[in-house]
Amino acid sequence: MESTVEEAVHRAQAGDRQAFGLLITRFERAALAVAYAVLLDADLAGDAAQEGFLRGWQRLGELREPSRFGSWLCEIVRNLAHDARRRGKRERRARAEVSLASLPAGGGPVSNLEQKETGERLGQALAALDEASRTALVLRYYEGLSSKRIGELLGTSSAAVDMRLTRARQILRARLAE
Amino acid sequence: MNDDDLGPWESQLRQHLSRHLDGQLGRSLKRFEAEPPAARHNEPPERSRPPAPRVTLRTVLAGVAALAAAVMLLALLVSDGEEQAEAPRPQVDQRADIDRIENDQPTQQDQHPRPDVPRDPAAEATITADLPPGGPDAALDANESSGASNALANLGQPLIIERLLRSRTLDEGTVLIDGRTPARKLRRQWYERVEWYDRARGARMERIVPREEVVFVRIPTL
Repeated sequence: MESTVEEAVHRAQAGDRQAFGLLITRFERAALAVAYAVLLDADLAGDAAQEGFLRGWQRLGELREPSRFGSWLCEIVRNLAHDARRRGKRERRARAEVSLASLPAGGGPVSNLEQKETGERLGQALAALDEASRTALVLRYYEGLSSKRIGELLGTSSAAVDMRLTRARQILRARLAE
Repeated sequence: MNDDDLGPWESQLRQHLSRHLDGQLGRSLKRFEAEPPAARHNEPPERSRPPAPRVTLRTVLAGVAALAAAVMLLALLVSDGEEQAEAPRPQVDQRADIDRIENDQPTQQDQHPRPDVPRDPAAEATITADLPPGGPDAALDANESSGASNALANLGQPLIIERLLRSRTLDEGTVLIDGRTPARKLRRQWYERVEWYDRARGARMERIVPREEVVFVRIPTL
């Protein structure tokens, strides 16, 4: 896998847009997870991930270690997500907008209501975590990454990731049991 | 229950994240594919650009405006009133093109506050004077399709100083694709604002485009 990523990065650095498209497909979920962990808003996370890939393409020449593409990209996305949060875009968005989360698809009214309540509880529990723990948790449960891979993406050790995940689960369990 | 699982909440957390984020998948690739080839990675890196473009733009435009005012004052002092009245103003029609672009936004997008970027009529007139007869749209279309020999190239390689993307996703419920495959119908609407800044002239140009697409996300069935 890594050699494939490195090869794609080398090709993309030579100007191969198709190779960069492969990298987008490979890392899109991770980018979304990182942005969502900062913003807690799916649409804004999508915007940040999208912008992150464009920035990544524009700055690809600066990447000296192709094997670190994932962590390099996640850092760009994380910075963009912080910028977006600082700009207060979330507060400015019209509340009348219907978000994906607020309208669960399918099912009857009862199941939709249950799903919505569950979603709200989970959202609140996630918001109670610190950003680093939330990032690790979202990468684990959305992207399904191992602690080692999460550590590589976040520039930390797998032991530190495990510690954060354990702590995050304790907090989540406590919040969700309330 | 040990520390490595969340019990019954684990699968719900996965579903929660998937429900929120899966609708965003594919956007980055589409956006990248829509990006004109001009935005290549071999362009000057972002960090070499002005660190705070908005502030820099304000400063530069204020400087240009002050300079224009000084020139006008000087012209008033050294020429008679008749020459002033006969001074050509060829850019009136072209300005209308820019106004048209800015006023053509759909009302649903108007709820998004637009950044307060200072305007310099003299600078806008300067940039519109070099645009093709079709106005800014034609210049931008030419840029995306014809490479170096386009209108923007004539402007001295303007710098893209800002790109704001605003989006929303509407869930239009469950539909059946080909009569039997259940899928969620998501309508994505986004709003692109691209602004070019010609450092050499202190001129700016912007384009705002509302876009929309419909995406079907297959719902897994047992």
